[in-house]
Amino acid sequence: MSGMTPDPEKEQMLSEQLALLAKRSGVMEAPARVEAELLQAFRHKHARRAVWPYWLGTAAAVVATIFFVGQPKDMMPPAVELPPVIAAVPRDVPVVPPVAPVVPRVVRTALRSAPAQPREIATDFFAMRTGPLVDPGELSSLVRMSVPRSTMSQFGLPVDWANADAAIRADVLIGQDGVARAIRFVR
Amino acid sequence: MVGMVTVSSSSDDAVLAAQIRKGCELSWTILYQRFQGRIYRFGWRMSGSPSLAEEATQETFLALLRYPERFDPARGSLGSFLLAIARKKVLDLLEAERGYVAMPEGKCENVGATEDVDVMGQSAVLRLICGLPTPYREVIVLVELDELDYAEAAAALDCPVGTVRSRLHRARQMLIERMVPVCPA
Repeated sequence: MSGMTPDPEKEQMLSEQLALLAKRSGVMEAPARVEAELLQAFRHKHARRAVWPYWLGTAAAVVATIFFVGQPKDMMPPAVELPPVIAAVPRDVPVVPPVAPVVPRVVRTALRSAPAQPREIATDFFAMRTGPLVDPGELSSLVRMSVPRSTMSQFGLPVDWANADAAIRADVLIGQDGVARAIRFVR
Repeated sequence: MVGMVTVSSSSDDAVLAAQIRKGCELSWTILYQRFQGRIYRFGWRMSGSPSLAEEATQETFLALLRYPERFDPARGSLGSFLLAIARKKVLDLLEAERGYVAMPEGKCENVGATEDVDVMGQSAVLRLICGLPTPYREVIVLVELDELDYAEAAAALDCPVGTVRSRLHRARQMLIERMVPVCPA
């Protein structure tokens, strides 16, 4: 066998078969149940008890409500909707337990001091937890990331499923505890 | 007080890993969606078994969940880190299932230019790949199917680039030999 002379025709045939196999298997993905089980394991590991006393949470909600309601409308950042997308045949979306909060709360005013870069169009911020986004005096960071477009579906935004794996930029508000508080998508 | 931080694609891995350690579910979801296909495909291409690929994928991400501190951005990308874990998981599972099946001598394989798919939906060439010894199977999968370059494959296999080249050459030879019918005239 070691003395075999290379056969270009057979090499070509092998290369074609390998390319065909690579292409056919290139669309394979893990079943949805794997994502669901891993998410459950993640939540189990990072489960934490609420540390906020009930009365303090209520007071924070009242303050937040007064803050949001009291803002003049002309100071609010423009609510920009992403252009409508043509919904292609939706791919199978993994059945994953919804990320709390189930109904995303659109935040219009709390982050008006952190506008998107010039010539960028951004959605409003979507809250990723109940209660105030940032506690008084708390340090936070706005981190720009690239996320799959399919992430937008978790916040009720339309997604072109034919292009769901493409990246889109997102600004994520990270609290002092390192946990994401809100997200907006940027174009 | 808000500070703006712009994260480039190369620093995404470090940010993702850090956020996951702190319990950020969004980051975990992003990471999984970004890498699950690649890990699953590697497992399937190495074994031809969807169940083994599924188990390897789950075990790979569980390993990251249990020991996230083992990822060091300075040593490589998160994708390479996960691939290295997946490789070990796949090899362990193959060993446990004794998945190596040598092609019997004298069996004719009709691997022509047209698609040749058996009742299980697997191509003949995949069956041949799964019949290769593990070191050669790995390089075929990583370089020819996963389309890694030699340096990336060498990093995943923890071996020199020259070893990847020579194994790939030998693996292709073995596949070609098995593609030719070894039938008496």
